[in-house]
Amino acid sequence: MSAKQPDRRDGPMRAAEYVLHLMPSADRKEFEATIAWDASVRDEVVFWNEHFAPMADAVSPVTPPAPLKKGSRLSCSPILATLRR
Amino acid sequence: MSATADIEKLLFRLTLGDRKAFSQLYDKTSAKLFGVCLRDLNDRAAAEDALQDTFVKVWKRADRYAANGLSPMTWLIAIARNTAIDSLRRRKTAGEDLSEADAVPSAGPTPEAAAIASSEAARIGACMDGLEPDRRAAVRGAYLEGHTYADLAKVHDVPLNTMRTWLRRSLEKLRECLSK
Repeated sequence: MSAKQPDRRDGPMRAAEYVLHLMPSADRKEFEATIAWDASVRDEVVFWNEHFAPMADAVSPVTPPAPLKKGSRLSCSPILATLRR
Repeated sequence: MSATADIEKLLFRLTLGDRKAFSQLYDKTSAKLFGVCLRDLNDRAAAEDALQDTFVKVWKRADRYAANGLSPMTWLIAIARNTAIDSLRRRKTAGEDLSEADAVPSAGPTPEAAAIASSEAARIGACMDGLEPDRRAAVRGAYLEGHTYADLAKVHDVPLNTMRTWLRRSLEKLRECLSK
């Protein structure tokens, strides 16, 4: 369609760079637009997210301070859930 | 019920505005996600803000979870990482326009890709071990600490283009190993 279309061979590597946050923010936005319409790119993003996730899962859990839960709850109005439908 | 199915059910209840489900999800996952935010930000106050933002996003976006093709914990980790890394970058380069943190846009992957991805998730350790130690450290530094190419080049004391090549070759190797 346009000159901005990524090289198909670069798809997996671009998806990995996206998941690792290695793209400049402008490229990141552009790539997100590509993900929205290109299922193969979206699959690559899922691929890298799922494969890398165990590394994050292996990070030691740290219990956050108790007041944070209350703050998070207060920010989550039930009205939002109604409005978004 | 498995932990995965449990979290999935809580996410579904969130879409109905169920605050009790929110509280349960928080209790189950906040320590893990706080650990991830702390690892990225290396600053307690900033990590607390990022964790709170993460849960607000989870509450607002739970309805997008079903369509994105990720397993529930991967989705939560992706939101926490994106929130923490965006905060990290904002702090580093104030004023730069950053994209809104989002795990993955909502349209789903093909079911095949999602099934393959989740069943083989545990293979990353073995494939990472196949990389040279400094390359492995660079990939981990990007994923877990939100390092940019420039940060990684500095940490490993190599030119920027060398670091780009390291990452590119490492990711190609990983892609091949993970796809076997």
